[in-house]
Amino acid sequence: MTTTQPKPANVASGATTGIAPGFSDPVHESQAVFRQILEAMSRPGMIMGIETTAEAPGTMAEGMAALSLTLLDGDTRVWLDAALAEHAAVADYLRFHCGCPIVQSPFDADFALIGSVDTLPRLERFSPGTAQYPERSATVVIEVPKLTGGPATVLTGPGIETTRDFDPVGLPDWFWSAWAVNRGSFPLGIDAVFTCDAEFCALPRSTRVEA
Amino acid sequence: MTARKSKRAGDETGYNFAYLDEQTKRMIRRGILKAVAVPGYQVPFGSREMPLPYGWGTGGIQVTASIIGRDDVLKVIDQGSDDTTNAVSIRAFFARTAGVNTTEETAKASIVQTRHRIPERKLRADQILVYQVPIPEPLRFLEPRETECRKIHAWSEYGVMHVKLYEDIARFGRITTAYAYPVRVDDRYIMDPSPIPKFDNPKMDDCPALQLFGAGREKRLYAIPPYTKVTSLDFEDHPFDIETWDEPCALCGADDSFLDEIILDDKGSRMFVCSDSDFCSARRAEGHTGPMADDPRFADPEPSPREEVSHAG
Repeated sequence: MTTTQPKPANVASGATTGIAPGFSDPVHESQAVFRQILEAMSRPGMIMGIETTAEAPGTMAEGMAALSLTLLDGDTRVWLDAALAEHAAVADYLRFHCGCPIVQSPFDADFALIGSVDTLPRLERFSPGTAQYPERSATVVIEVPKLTGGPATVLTGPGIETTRDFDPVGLPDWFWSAWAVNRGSFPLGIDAVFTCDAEFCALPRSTRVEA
Repeated sequence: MTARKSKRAGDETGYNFAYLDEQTKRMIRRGILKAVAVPGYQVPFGSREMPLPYGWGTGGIQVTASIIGRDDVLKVIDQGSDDTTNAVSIRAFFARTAGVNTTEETAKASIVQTRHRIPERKLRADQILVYQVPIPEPLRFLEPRETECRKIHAWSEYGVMHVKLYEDIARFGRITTAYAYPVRVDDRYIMDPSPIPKFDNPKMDDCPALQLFGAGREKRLYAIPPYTKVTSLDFEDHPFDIETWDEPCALCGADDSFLDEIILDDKGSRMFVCSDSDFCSARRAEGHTGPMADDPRFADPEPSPREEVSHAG
């Protein structure tokens, strides 16, 4: 195909004019989204909703986009899974709105954004922090097909009064045994956030799971 | 700077909402999330200069500024009282820079920032308690080196703390620590609960509200998620216990709250009153009376109705 204005293929979907808008009111929207994230992290497995004016880029869902706009900036290294990386619009969006560096190795990431459970790497490929600085670990945000209706698990631990049922759809077979390893290495370990469109819930490393 | 005409945040020029810039808020917010994920662990953060000195609650203020929104209702207490300098200043700071509504009633607040007390009224799941912390490291006076404290926490080698408590027992027959009494969070990290009286320690355990701690000068954040096990350190033969008083609150008659001793004259007369001023006035409004409630010296000139949420501006 010939065009009168040739442009490089890798910016075809992410030309400056094509970047989706972020929050229309960044201060108060990011505050509201943060409080939802804080609530989710404080009460593992509890499903929270996000109302946002931000548009999501490419294949990224709006909840994950709102989380990204709220938490990411030039101080956070971000890794994208294959599902998100294949659309240049996603990286362009994050670089434009958040100014975050995109890294090539999951182990280098402070935040890993996973667009599809099919391309979720093994959990040990993310940084668990160090014994003296366990906060230097990855937060892994995973888009799942649905947050409820999948194989049942029961959560206990900090933030949960007695127990909480948790049954996201689509996680790989190995996930819960990998999570047990993650929990076993506490205080090291990754923290997970599961998103589905505009809803999400969190699974901090302190949560124990009975699959 | 332009003249301040109004206390409404929208009119206060030159500041972002709640004073801190967005980059700083994001940094603190990420720190808070990690603090919640690793209960009791102290997360380092880039504490900012605030318009009041370190030691006056800058850590708590930065935490509050990072979480507060326009719809929040803020209560600030200093040693249980809403009316002391620190509490009044911080409440005014947020009324002015964030335009939020403030209250003195624990039940009406969505965020309670505190210096050295936990309110007597049980906190709810929809509330957040923010502590101002002077020295976050429980091991600081046992091991001054930060690098060594970090290793002690990393490997859970907390023997030195138990030795300290044991030495109290050997010397005095009991554990003499009365405030900032060390706790263990979810059976892992030993944590300084900030200088609250040990009377308040049991309130931290299994609390429905999220508890956040900010130390501005020491640049540390930590957290206790809701419904988390928090145990005060003790020994089987010297179990943890809390202070008791021989008399109830002189004004409201409460026998289950933390009491302050107040000297009344130079002849040795004194009274004990609730440290939590909202708790005490609420009880008096309900008709509870203590032994000195009818003393004209302590009568309200005109008993005011219970305060409603005060709107900024």
